[in-house]
Amino acid sequence: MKKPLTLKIQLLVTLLPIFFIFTLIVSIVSYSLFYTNTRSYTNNQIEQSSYQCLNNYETFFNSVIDTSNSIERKVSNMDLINHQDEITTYLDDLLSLQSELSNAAIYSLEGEVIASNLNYESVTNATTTDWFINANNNRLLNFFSSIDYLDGLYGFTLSKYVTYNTEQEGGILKLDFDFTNVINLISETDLGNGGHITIYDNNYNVVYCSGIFNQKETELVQDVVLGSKIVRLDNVEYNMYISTLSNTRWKVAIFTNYESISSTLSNFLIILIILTIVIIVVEGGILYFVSTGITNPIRLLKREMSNVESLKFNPNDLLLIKGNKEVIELSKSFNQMMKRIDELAKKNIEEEEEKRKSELKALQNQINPHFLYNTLDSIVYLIEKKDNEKAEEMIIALSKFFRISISKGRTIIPLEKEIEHVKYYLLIQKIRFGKSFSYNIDIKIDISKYYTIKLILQPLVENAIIHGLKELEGNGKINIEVDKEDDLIKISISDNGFGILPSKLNEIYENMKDKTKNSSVGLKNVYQRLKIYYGEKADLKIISDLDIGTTIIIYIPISEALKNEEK
Amino acid sequence: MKKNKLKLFLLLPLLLLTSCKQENNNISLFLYAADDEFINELTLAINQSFAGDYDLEIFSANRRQSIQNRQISSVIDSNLSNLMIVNIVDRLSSKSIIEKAATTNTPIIFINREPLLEDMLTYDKVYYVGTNPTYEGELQATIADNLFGGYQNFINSKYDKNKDGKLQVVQIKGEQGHQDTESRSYYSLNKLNNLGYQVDLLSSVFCDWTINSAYNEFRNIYNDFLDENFNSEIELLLCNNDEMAVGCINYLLTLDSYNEELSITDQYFPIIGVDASNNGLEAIRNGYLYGSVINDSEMQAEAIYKISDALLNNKDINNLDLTFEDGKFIRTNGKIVTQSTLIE
Repeated sequence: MKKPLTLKIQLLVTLLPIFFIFTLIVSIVSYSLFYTNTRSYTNNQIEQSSYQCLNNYETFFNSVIDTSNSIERKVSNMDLINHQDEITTYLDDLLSLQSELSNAAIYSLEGEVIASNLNYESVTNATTTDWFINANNNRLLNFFSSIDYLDGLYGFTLSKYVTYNTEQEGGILKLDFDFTNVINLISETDLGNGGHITIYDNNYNVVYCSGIFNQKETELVQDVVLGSKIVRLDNVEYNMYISTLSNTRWKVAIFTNYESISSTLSNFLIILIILTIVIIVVEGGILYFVSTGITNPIRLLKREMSNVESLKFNPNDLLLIKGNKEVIELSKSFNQMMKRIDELAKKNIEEEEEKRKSELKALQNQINPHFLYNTLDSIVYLIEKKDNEKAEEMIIALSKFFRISISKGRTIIPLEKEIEHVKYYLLIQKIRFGKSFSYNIDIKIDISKYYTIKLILQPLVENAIIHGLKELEGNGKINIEVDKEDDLIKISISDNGFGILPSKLNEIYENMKDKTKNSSVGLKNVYQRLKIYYGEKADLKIISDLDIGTTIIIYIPISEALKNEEK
Repeated sequence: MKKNKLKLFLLLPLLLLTSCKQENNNISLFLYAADDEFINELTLAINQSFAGDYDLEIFSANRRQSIQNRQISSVIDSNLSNLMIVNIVDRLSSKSIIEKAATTNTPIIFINREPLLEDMLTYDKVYYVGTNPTYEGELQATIADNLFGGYQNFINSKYDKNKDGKLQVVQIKGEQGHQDTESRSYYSLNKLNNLGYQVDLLSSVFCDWTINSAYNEFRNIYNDFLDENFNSEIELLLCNNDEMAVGCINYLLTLDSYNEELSITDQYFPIIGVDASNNGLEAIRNGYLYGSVINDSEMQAEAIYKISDALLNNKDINNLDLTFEDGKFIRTNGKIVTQSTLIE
């Protein structure tokens, strides 16, 4: 099964691609819009300026054709031979009206000048010239010579077959034009770096080029023929616009530098890419913070909860998680729940304590009342025997014994008192039983600061007297020793009786540890009280060697023994 | 299922694209101007013959070759057209247009304005459909000859107003450089000469096919040729088309001497046009225009349709019942129209 993702990762994984794609789409769309718009705008502009350029040429060539046409109209109904003055004046007028027109003449089909402006130098052997032959061959067309460049001036010749004298005779009209001003004017059009205009004739021979002519462009012009296209010449992009020049058989190719648009586009692209990356990074950052803001309180809450799991929990340390409303409420509810749990636990502990105390009391109260009866019987016996000294001694011992037993109802008494308590007991028992046993108390450490629960030694000593020494007439020995072992106080009570069989010993242990069995053997009573009061660290051990004796050892933690208060 | 949907979704734009893709039936018609009477009649006739079978898109160049160049290059560059019919503005530009069409192997039919033969021979899918201006000019002469009843009967007749035995003619010409202008003008006079007339060309003037231009130019000419009694010296007015003839008629109608009772032929001089356009036919019915030559737009449209159909469907052009001159040119022959032929 797939490992479940954290909320934060899930938020990031889901939202980040959406943001990313969205940003990307916005970027792509805006670039393509910008690209199309810029291109179409620039193309439009270039087309407009190219068109303007072409217009200027056409306006000029139309005026040239108009001049030719008006001369043709003028002479078609005119007897040139008999009206020399009139035609000369007319041509001179035309020359002064149209600054570009430098010469105008009409040649007969034999090559003689029939009419011309005043200062005209006639061409010899006119019939052999290109302009004459071409105009004569196709009598409907205006023939344009290629553009000459001479002494800084551009010039060309137009020739046309015309009829005169009411169409009865024919001749060749020859008009020389000075093209320089027009070319200079058009050259002012800004075509960008390297931009230029080339004029081709019918067979793609270059008639004129305003810039540096590149051999490759002829191929490009032949490919495209008409219209516009983006082309590359010497690694520079140009918009090439080709059109025909009306009334001529020429073609104009206008090359406008197109690099600026490429750099504009690439600049925009770079800015857009940077911007896109920045936006995506910012989006990612914002998304990270937002998702952290959402998930962090949840994460903290989770940590709080796991503190509880690992039992490091303290209800006073509970944090109120800051975050969004849901998390705050969740945190509050959790805290409340934890407090409630804590209260319940405390209550439970208190109840347990109460129960323990009552158990302790009950156990303490199980001290054998027979001892009192027996002792009193012994005192009566001593009195009857008029052994008043011993009787008195016994009564005093009994009185002190009970004083310590009761200890004003306290459970905890100084260890010294407990030891004293046992001494009185032993004294009483010794008087009762006579010289049947001896005892020795050996305190190896300073016990003045230690406390203990009361009545833990007396039952054990009683055991030792009853079970260990009963049969030993006069040789019984009880040895009580108080010592330290690590952080425990070790109190051992030894007898020199027969000892206990190992099987019996196990039975005793089992019996001792079993709470449920309600047998009021002293050993068990002491063991249970040690455990209830001191917990696991306190212990009771029985060491027994057959025919040598039995030692019972009580262990009390020193840390607990220093406390003089009831739990 | 989901995958299929996705596929369909992806295919949808493709389907749209393919449905948009034109079939083999887009024809572009480029006109030199939208206000030429005869061109409009011809356009109408072309439209009718192509209707239903082909999509015809019409462009008008407003008498500017540069505009027409742009229209043609944009159509060719975007591959929008399967065939172009071009009424070129400047016949000198035909070479470039033929070359442009050749870049995409698009067939091209020139109409009305004749490209140069040398240009036509550079491309195999180019044809020309137009009138036969030579024959039209000759028919103009024939109309006049029929009216006069031959040169011998003309001499000293009421048509030979100054009784000099010569025919005083004024020519109203179309556009300078247009092949129809030159041929109609030249061959009408040529035919009259051949029929034995002694022709005295008083004046000839270019009026660019239009009514207004003819009206203005003719006013000058009319006033240049008045005798001592302020009668017109003109004995025959030949116009390259009916529109210009109507322009001249309009001027005559403004004269004080104009008498509604008499036809213009009887009152002033016979006027003969070409085209038999709607305006021209109207003028013939009214007795203003003596005669005209049918420049049969329907016949031309039919020829254009036949050639287009053959070119677009890879039929052999030589199997058509059309006669090509130089393998490229269809020139339809005109017919005489006068009041009497109209009655018939």
